[in-house]
Amino acid sequence: MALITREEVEVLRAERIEELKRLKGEGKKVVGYFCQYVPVELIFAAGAIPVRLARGDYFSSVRGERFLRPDACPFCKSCLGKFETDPLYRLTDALVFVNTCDMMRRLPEAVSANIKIPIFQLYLPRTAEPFPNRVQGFERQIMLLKAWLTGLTGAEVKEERVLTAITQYNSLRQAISQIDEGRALVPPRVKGSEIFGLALLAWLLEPQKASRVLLRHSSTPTSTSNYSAPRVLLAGSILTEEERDLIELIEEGADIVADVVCTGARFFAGSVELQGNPFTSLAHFYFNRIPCAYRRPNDLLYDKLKQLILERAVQGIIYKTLLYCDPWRFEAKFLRQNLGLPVLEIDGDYSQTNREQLRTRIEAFVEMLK
Amino acid sequence: MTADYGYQDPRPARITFDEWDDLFQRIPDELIEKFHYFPPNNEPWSKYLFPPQTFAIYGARHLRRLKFDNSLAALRLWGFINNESERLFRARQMGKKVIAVMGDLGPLAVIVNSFPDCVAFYPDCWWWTPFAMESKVLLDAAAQLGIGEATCFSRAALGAFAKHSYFPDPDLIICATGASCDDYSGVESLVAKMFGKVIWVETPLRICGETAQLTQLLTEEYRRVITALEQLTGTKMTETLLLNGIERSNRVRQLTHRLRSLAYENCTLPALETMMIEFGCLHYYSDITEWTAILEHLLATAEYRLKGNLPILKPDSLRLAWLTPPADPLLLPYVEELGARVVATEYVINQALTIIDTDADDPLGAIARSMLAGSLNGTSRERADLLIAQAEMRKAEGVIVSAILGGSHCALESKLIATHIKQRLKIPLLEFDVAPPKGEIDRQTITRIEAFMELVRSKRCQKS
Ligand code: SF4
Ligand code: SF4
Repeated sequence: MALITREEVEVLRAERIEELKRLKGEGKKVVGYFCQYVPVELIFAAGAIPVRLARGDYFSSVRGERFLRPDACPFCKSCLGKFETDPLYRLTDALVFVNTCDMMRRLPEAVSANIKIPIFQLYLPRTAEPFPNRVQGFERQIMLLKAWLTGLTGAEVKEERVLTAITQYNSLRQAISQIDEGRALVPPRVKGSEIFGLALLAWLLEPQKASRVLLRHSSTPTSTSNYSAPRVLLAGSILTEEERDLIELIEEGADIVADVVCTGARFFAGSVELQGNPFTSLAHFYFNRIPCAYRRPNDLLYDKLKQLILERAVQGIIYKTLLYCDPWRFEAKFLRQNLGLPVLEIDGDYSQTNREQLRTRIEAFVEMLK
Repeated sequence: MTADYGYQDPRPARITFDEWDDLFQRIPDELIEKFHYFPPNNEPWSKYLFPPQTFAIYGARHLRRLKFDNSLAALRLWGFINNESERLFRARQMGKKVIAVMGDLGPLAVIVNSFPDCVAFYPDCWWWTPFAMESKVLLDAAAQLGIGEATCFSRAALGAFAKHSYFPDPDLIICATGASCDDYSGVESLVAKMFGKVIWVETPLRICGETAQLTQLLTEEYRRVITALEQLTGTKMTETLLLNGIERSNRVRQLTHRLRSLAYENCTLPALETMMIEFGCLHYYSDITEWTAILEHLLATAEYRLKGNLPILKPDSLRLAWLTPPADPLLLPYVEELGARVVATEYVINQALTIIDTDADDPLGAIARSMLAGSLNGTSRERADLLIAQAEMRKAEGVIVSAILGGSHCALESKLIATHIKQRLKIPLLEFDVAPPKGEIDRQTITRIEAFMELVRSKRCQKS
């Protein structure tokens, strides 16, 4: 029996959308965000509802080309396209962007030119060495976000509320991390697709509700694979909710025992420090997350990869990038040359036309790993 | 101008490669001997006043296709620019520290040049090399390291690092990144992996109302750079040294401002030479003293032309504004060939053009504020506004936006900028991607530029 099925996730999503409509009717604000670097705790503590907008498909990406050039990253194009079609996106009252890669940093301008909605742009230093001036600079940004949220919701973001939010999100992250340990086992007791499904619930549902759902499901872990399935690690650009197809395609022949994807394990890794000033703790936590490839230097990403490869007995890497996603695509060669494992590179734009070709490539790669 | 050098420039004209060769014969030998890089050094090996043919033989093949300003000052400019590789290797031989500054387009070079015996250069500027050499060697080398097609031509810098023959391996590499483009940040990331160690400098996003805080953040970044340079050179940076460095950079920036306005308002210099002058504010082509002297020579030439009513381009040419530097230098002379002149530019290097405040108690903070004026760390709208202000002032009749396929900021901001400019200026706008180097402008671009020029011309006719 599966830990959580795709159908269950879809049911919970539909329920959540109805719930959000009701809450909006009661005056609650829905705040959308795109990136793992957004301190959701703050949004939650302001009395707003944070939802991650991590959807992206070919159709919405093509729609986005009315606002952006075709050579923009498909995820960014999708973000624009989704505002026309996706009920969750249309429910948002405000958006928080992070100044990450160049594309993501400029997206708010494109959004605000076309969709009239309040936007906050959080500046996170691109340089990752945690020098005091950088972390303090980021903390200052967190305080600006706090003030903006107060303006949006009318509720003061008090320290106690932030601490409560941190506690709830820490529990949620820890709960998924614990379940994720099941992927490390031989054979793994949890599927990669299930972990991606749980991460999705963590950014979609209210944190305590998400924790309850997790608890319910984690009581029924099952062995999902035989010993002989090759153990792969998934890395690369953001994987959108719609890309679960790809994950399942991989799982037809291999076990995804680890990942460093921002909608996967990077999303729920780590805990915010509970001692001390919570705003400082949030600044440290988000500044120091396992880095996305766009950060400089991104050595810690490689360290994490090496650690996972060892700890989870990884045999091969599937490196999935998005067309025109420079931060991840540029690392492909170096990664291939430096991790000492076979790498399958998949570069896509969400188009489904080459699906059978992709299946063949994945099958061949998995065969090679056996 | 010319009196100072005992040589009379011919009447201003744009001349071909071959014509320059003939003209060169008329330049007195004493004058050729006169100009040396790294002054006051005047060793025979440091001459650089050669006709374009010399550099074409050594690889700058595109020179054969360009049109040049026929002044001695312009020849000096071209000789100096084309000699930069040699100059950097020579700097190493002379015991100077060669410092690669990457990604910030201006302010870091001010700091590095404040250290005696440090030479700052921008590998970023090697993005012209594939066009200059009409060769994809550097782009292929970048592809082998992971940065392939559909990326900004600045990837040539990665190829140049890998080849170890375009500049010496630097004594120190300083990489600025942050609110910058992804393409070049990717180049920096791979350069850092290749060399093992670089210094990363954060380039903050410009945020309204946050200038003081961001200045402080940036100042700390610069302090780290200074510490590293002090360790490398054994020289302690003092406020006097730094202020002196700022003043020298400001001199270059002031000269550039004056030259830009003489070129764009009074037709005293062609667009290509003016672009090279603007880019000189980034790194002074690795020799600030001689570069300043060249700018002074150019300024004297331009002032002379102004005074004598000797424009190099017809003042009634169609007036164009240009956004984003064209990676292919052939494009600027080409529009001039078709009867246009450039009157406004936004070449994404505004931080290198900003005059640094010298009254401030804290010179590093002043450099930081100049960085915060950067074109790439603000919004697309601000960038567009920089161009609009100039275009309005100089009554531009058309706008050209030259983009790069796969360039991260082009992909996101081009449409925004184009829409904003069209709404505000209500004049024709042409946007095109610069094609990869192949020794000539591609047919499609030619057709589009020609059609655009026709449109601009017909609009002018309608008005008159
Ligand atoms: S890929 Fe990187 S920048 Fe993009 S959403 Fe994920 S973490 Fe953020
Ligand atoms: S990191 Fe890549 S996928 Fe993520 S937003 Fe930036 S360009 Fe797009």
